[in-house]
Amino acid sequence: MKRLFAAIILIIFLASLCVTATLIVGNSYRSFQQELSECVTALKQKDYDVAKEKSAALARVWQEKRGMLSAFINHDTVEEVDETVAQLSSFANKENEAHFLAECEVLKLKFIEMKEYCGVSLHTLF
Amino acid sequence: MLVTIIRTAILYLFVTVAIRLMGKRQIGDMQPNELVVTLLISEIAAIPLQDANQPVLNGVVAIFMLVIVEIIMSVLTMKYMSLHKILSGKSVIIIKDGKIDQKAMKQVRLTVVDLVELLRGQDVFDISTVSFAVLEVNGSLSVILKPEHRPITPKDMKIQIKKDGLPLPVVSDGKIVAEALKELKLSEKEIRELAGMRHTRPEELLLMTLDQYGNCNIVIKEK
Repeated sequence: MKRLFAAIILIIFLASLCVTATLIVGNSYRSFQQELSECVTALKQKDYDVAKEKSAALARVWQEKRGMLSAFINHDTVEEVDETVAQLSSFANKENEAHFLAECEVLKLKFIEMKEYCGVSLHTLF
Repeated sequence: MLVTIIRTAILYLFVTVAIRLMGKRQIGDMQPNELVVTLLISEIAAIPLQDANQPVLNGVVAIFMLVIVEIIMSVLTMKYMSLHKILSGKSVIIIKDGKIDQKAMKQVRLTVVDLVELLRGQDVFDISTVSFAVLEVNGSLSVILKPEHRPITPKDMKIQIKKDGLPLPVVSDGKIVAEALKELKLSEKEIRELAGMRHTRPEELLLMTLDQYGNCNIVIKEK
């Protein structure tokens, strides 16, 4: 009976951990996607200053959340996003527009990968 | 380097808690499902230890999930014998009245060499002396000898013998063990008196054991 009680406590602990991980990763994903889409919109409107600002804002949001995210997702993904986010603001100009959009696409995929890592789907299960 | 040290310490703690929750059993005494869980726990714990890119939480969650499944399965197998048979198998009688059941041996894929080795492990060297030999689910062999080959017991000789109790260490390395005193319903003063009767003090003793029938044994510390 004592062991069953310990199992129940463990189930509660694991369930709350799963919910916390899903919430943190999901919320972070939404914030990143919003910042990223604002970056892309600004660049498509040829507003390079705003694009630079938005990419700096994205880098800030990423820095705020990366510590917590490292507890739940693969550290390789975190490092890859780190590199891409760091490069992004340097591409926010007329000459590197194509580069900027390509990096944004890479980031978008990385964020999706990050979200899927914590979600349950056929892809993650098998 | 520091990260590896901390991650190892964390995983060590979690694996210890997990194994402790699974209960005390030696690897040889484990049921098949318990052995699987133990092997998986050691494998899973090794992944975040070797690969610093894996979050420690991934390992911890997997370890605890295995423990939960193991506990739930042990509760279910206690309730439902059929589930116990499916997961652990059942004991098989290998020798009956001195005769080997060859069909049963084939069924459990036990060779004669293995059987003879298991019997030797039970101090049995002649199969004809065995009344029953049962191969347990954990792979051990339980043997009952024929009555004429069993060792004589005091009961067979109708001899009355004094009961012995469990000797508890009441003094360990010069210190009185409070839990043992509680178990024996004795006070510290009584222990000091007992030691005094042997011309010594608890502080001078390496070990003092006492059972519920008053049988006392002391080992004095070397100076």
